[in-house]
Amino acid sequence: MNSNSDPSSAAADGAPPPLAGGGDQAEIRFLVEKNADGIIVVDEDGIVLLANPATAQIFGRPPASLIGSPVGIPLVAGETTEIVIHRPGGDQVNAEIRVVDANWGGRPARLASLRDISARKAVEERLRHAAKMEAVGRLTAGIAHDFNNLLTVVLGNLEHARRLNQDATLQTLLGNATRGAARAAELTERLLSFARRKPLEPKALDVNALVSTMSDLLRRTLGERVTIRVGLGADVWQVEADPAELEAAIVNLAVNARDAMPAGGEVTIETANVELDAAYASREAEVRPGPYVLISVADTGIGMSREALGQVFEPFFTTKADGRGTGLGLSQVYGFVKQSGGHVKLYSEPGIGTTAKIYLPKADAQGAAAQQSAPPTSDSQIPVSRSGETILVVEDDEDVRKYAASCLRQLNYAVLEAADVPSAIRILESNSEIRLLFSDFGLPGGMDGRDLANRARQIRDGVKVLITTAYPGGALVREGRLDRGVELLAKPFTFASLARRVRDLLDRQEPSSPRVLVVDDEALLRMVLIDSLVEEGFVAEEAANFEEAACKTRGFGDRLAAAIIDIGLPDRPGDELVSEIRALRPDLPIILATGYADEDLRRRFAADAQVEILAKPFDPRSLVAKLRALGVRKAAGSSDPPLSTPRSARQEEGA
Amino acid sequence: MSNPEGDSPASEILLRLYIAGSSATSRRAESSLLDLQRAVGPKCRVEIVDVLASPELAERAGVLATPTLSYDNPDRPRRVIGDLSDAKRVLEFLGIEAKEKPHDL
Repeated sequence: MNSNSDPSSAAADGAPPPLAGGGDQAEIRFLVEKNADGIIVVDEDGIVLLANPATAQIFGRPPASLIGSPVGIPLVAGETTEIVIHRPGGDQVNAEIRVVDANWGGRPARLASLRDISARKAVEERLRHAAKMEAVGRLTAGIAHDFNNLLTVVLGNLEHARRLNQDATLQTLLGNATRGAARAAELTERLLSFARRKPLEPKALDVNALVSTMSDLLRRTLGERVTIRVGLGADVWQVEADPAELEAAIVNLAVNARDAMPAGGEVTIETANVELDAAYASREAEVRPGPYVLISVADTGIGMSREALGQVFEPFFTTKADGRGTGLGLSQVYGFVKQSGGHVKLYSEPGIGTTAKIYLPKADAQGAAAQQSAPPTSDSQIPVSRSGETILVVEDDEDVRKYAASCLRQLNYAVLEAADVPSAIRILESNSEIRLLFSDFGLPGGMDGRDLANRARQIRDGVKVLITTAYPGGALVREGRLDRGVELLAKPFTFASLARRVRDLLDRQEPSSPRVLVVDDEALLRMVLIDSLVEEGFVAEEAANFEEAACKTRGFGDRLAAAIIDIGLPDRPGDELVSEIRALRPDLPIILATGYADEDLRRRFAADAQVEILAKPFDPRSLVAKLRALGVRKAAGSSDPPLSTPRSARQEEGA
Repeated sequence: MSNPEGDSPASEILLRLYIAGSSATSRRAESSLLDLQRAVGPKCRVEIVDVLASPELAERAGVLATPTLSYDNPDRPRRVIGDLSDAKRVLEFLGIEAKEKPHDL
């Protein structure tokens, strides 16, 4: 390619350096023929003069058919430009071209090199798409979040007004307004679902069982003109997913299938175990290779164009012309599946049909242990406070706080209010009667609702926590799961749902380990005792003196299972503490530790079967044996870890 | 497009742009086409052909790749393929005189 006069080679204008190593004409032809990139020469009218085999391959046409065709003059403003090549049959190839001015047969011409970049473009396109979905998701979540706060106030006040109102006409109007607001709440819920911000409650799930139970629902939803076929794979693995959301996703896909078949047709729902390999994962954005359960929903409908396919998961995108579609169905599917660590893929062929494939990761063996779902609470009655329990409401939005507080007061709870974390902590510290903390998740000043919940449990162990949020950020919904010990009530919440959740939480018996109070002024001795108690499955509470012990006994009340008391306390003697405790808890098992074999002491407590005297020094095992002898043992079936952490761990936390 | 300045139809210039769908490349090409039209002036008429929607038109015209800008001058039909953003160069290749020197290019 170093000669302007050689008609068989093209060379750039100017004086290019001679080809290193020389090479005769046959060798140069060999290079052109074998070059992996396409080489094409066109004249000033854009007519192809030369095309090498790689070019022919990119164009999908034989080289001979390319020669003489009016491809056009390739123009490149910068270094390269991209074109789309249309192969016979409709396939498209993205190609990058570079162009140099050349001479061919003594006439000005252009030499272009072509490279097939379809694979790279496809990857870029997927990444761009993922980024776009993420951005739309953030926007959606932001709107839904603020909207939910407003809806909480609207719905709450409407509900309140309906309870106070006696006028029938007004009742109808209020009812209509409530229905409208409730629909708005459904809308924000679906938006959150798309934005992967909906709090999910994943459970170990048998997909086959779920699909089987849905057949009735699907038949009713899809109507008579649609035939439903269900093909359940054998031994389909369990997945960990929110059953309600999975059901919603399947219904959404089925409804889309129905709408794609206006004249009726067939919907096929199938399940199977599949293994997504690394090759597949590398082609798709955000897919991890591994075992998945596939749920596919296929129709025999009108299908979709490639462009529509690229947009179907975007919220409010719909191909349904007559206003039937909300444009949120597939958004829910997308958000739910992604949030559950899965993958969703749509295949469509215009005129043939569409197949949606949901891949949910196989549940690991531990997660697959059947979890009990909460029994549904009856809708008919709104539970109220039994004994005027005290609830602390923490919420920075004044309207929402007022609403929540007024709801709880109407339910006969005693309500304390705080607008931020510091005042909430102050109130928690000075009010031992607080049974439940009802807190917003997003709070000003660096600590969120979850941090406050942890702090609250340190201050007042056993306090129940209910967190509300317009959407939980990553901290609360960690990979779609609620943190252990955090109960969640999504905004906007209704009077009834708040009432039920609060009552449910307050009534729930924590399957906790027995709580033992250790009273000793020797810090090192306390530490040894506590560690051995915790090792044995007890929860240990400690006090260094009479005063502290008496206070904790009152604070824990019935939740205290036993006390270990050193006779020599700095402020008042330990035996007086026993009397003090007896006034509150006549039958609390107590171990009195004493350094002297005091016969007088034994005699004094001989009548109390629930008091054991333990002579110092003792080894922790004999202490545990004594506790057992008094009937204090680990609660049967208790699988939860102790509520309080071992002392050593607590010290690391600096608490 | 009509001829507001009353030019004879013979002097009308028809620029036909072949694109594929509504990709970013297509949108860039369309916007370049409008720039060209502005540069040429009122005698310039433009037409956009989506080869995905009308593959037969592309087939008939022998368009193998997009974006392709075609100027079907009976004397000397010309085509430009690829980047159309340099209006001056594009018009030069097509042999069309600009109304005035295209600025902002």
